[in-house]
Amino acid sequence: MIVRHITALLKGLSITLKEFFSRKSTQQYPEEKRQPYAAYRGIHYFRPGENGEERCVACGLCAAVCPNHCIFIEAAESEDELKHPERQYAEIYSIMLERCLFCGYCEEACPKQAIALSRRYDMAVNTRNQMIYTKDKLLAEGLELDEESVGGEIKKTGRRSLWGA
Amino acid sequence: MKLTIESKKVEIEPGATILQAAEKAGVYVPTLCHDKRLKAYGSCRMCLVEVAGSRKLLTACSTPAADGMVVSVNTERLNEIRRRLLELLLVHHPLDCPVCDASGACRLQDMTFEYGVTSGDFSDKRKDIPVVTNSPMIERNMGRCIFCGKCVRVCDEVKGVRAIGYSGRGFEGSVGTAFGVPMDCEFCGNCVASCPVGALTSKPFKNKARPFFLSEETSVCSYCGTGCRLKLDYSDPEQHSFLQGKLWRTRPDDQDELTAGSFCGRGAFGYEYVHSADRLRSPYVKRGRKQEQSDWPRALDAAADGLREVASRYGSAAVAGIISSQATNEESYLLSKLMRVGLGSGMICAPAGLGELAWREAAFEILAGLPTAAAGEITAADLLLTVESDLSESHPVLGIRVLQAARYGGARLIYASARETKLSHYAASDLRIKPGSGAVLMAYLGRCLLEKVKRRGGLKGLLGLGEFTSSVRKLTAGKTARATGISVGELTDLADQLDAAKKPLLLISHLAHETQKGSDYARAAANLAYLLARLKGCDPPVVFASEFSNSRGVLDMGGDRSLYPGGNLEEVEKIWDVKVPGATGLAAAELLEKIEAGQIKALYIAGLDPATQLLGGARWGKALRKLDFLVVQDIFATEASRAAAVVLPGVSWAEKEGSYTNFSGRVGTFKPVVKPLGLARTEWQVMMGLMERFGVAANYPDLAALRCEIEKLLPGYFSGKTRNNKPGGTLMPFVTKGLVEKPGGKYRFLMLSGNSLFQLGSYSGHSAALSERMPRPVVEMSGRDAVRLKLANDDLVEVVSRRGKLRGKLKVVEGNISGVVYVPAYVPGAAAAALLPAPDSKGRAVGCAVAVRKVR
Repeated sequence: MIVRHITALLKGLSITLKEFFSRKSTQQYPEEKRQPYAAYRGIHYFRPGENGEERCVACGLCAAVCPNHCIFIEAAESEDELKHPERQYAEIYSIMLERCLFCGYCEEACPKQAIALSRRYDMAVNTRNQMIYTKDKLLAEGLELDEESVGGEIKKTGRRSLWGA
Repeated sequence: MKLTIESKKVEIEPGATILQAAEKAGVYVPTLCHDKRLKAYGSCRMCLVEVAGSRKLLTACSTPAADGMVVSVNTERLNEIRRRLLELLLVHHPLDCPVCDASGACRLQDMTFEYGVTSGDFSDKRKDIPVVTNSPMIERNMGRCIFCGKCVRVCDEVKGVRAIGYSGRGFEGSVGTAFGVPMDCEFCGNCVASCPVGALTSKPFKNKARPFFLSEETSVCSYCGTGCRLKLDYSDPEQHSFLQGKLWRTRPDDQDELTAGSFCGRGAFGYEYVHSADRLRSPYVKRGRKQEQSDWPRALDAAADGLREVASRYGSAAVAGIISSQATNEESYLLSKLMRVGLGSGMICAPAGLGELAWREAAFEILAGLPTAAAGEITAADLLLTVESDLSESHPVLGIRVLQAARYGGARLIYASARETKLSHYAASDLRIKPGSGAVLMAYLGRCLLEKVKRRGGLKGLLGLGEFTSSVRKLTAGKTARATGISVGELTDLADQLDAAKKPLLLISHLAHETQKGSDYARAAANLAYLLARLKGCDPPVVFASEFSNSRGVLDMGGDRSLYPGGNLEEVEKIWDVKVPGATGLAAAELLEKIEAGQIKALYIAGLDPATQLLGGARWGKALRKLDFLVVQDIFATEASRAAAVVLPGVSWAEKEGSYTNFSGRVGTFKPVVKPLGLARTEWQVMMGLMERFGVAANYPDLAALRCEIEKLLPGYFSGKTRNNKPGGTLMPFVTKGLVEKPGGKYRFLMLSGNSLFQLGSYSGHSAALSERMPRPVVEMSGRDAVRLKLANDDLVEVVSRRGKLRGKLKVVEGNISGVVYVPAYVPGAAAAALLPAPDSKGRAVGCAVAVRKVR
């Protein structure tokens, strides 16, 4: 009877002891940050254009496809050909992140590969207002992220894609 | 004729096309270049169908259906052909859908999706053609064009303008103007509306909103009396990703039998006033000398107290009301009730419909109602007579009807006017008559017809015959020829044509600013219509185009002195359950005189600015400042509102529920699509608030309840069942009344004024696109006069009358009669009203003598 209790205790302690010397699985967040998987969908950002232009042309497909209606766009016409080569641009672009379910449809629908979802997940803020990601914020976010995280390769088929060049 | 389409049997009239048969059978045939308003074109080949027994494929839009045809629409072979056609179109199409305005409402996009064209076997360079932006209002992006030719054909076949055409050949082909000059046309927007892709875009709408985010509501146009149904595209923040509700654009309604899918520049580009920065956003109440922002309860109290005080001090006859002809039926009814019951004053008038009123009075005496044919009658007619009225400018969509009847319907168009306009070019006989002689012309034609009716014994039961006969006895052909300036031969020819025609139709407008038309014009027109009715055994064949969106409704609702809703005072007293003050006979002219004489001390103005919109504008401006108490309800700040003691901000038609009655009595209802701006409130709610303060029962929880009460007086008004032109009646003696002011001496030109394509009422001036198009009046002058004054096209000229002056750009019209200048009314900052004399109580045409000089 007693022996049985002692073996059980030793068994338990052996695990404790083993874990004591094995590699730690906890992380010192926020000093240390977890690297999510490649397909992880986190906070949105605007991919910068090749020549510094804005890719978004305010076509509204992201807002149209968004299941939670959290994207608001107001289009306008621009005179600045360098910044907005297609003249139409988003005067107001905002995402209400607290409503977003990170489905990534906006990224999929975007014909200009302007919006994308990064692997950033740390979005805790103090006020609701800070959860509204405006165009400036999205653009700044895009410049901060390195090229590696810029995804969305265009698929190439045998027949010429009508949407290609 | 019977035929089988996709195994559905259908019976149609001979002459119909396979496409029309398919439509009737409910079979969908894809088309890109087809438009029911246009002649068959057959360029896109999307509507190819297989017909049993024919080796060739046939285009459904241009092939007449034959008896016993067996047609297939959706075979694999046809679908493969359609796929290939689309692939070929997409070789050059830029596929810039993300920035294209048509995206979401694009026929090419829809079909590409429908036929699953995701890739193509053909490749070539995409077109890279610069966008043509040099025209006002309309932008042409020819890279997107698929050459369906609809815009070019609409411009020619529907509008008769031919502003755009094809240029270049093959791959270089494009749609443009001659020599690439900026478009200078009517800017009716029909080309933009008909474009199946985004090749033609409207500048005010471009790059602003996506069609798939917009909600649609069928409404009525708020400008002229044609009453075209419009589709409003607006954003609804609750449904789509918009931060605010806004009216983004208007489109024609192709289901509307009146318009058949066309509209005009005012309808297409005139909606911007809804969101104009000049709108009144809050009530104002005068404290001391300054107007101060206020809230509704205080403003309504101030308005009610002020009116009541004047009424108790000077009697209720010292309080009067003026209502705009763009007020809805419901508002007019409420104002009429508020004035008559609440204030006990019968002094209410709708002066912007001055012309209408003259006509109405003539018609009342003759026909016991306002007789006017519907738009369909224009198409059915075989002779159209238009006297000193240019419907293609004042009522562009009716103008389209007239043109179509004259060009394709086999109708003879007789155009008699002092001006050369678009109609002159399509008229079978274009008669240049002296200004103001239209009444004499019609009276003479009446005299000729009288003989003919008498010979056929059609005068039975006609009253006033003796007086009429003796009044026109001396009006011989020679005398008429001298008065009108056309030859005796032409006159007798005209009378014979009227006699010979099976379905003649008189096309008349009688607008407030038409200085050459007085009550004699209305009488002559009504007499002629009545005699024609007797001669042809039909309803009076006359289209009387009313000026504003609700000119007619305001009068129907009792918005003017001797008129009561339903026309019967006893009935009104029964329904309202009060003693209604009798008619005081207050015409706009008398109202003005009474204000000047200090007999009227308080005025309630609903929706108009007398200084810029009414005849004798300059006098009105001064008279308003003499009033003890002025309440102005308007959507914009005006000269009147600045002088007002209480300003009540109203809302535009896109923000309220209501109805407008068009020229033929069709009632068009509309619903709000955007929220009222700022603190502004719908007029009918404000009037109810005032009624409450005057202790008048206003138990209308919604407009439906109010309409119910109106229908008690006017049975079936809102379902369009009230129109009845009673047979029988009286002819009126014809007396030429002449003009209030004749040209002579220093002021040697007679100024004619009328409604232009781009400026009408106060709304157009606050619509950016329209104002940009006509920032200053275009002053028309005959070639001879221009040579004499050494003036040329585009010179800046000053038109000076005894009362005021305006500056405009000169346009030399060779065909105009000399001694006449034409100035469009309602141009902001250059109101023709300020130059015009006030009308007199005798109902004479005002006339206006002016001098023209070049500004250096």
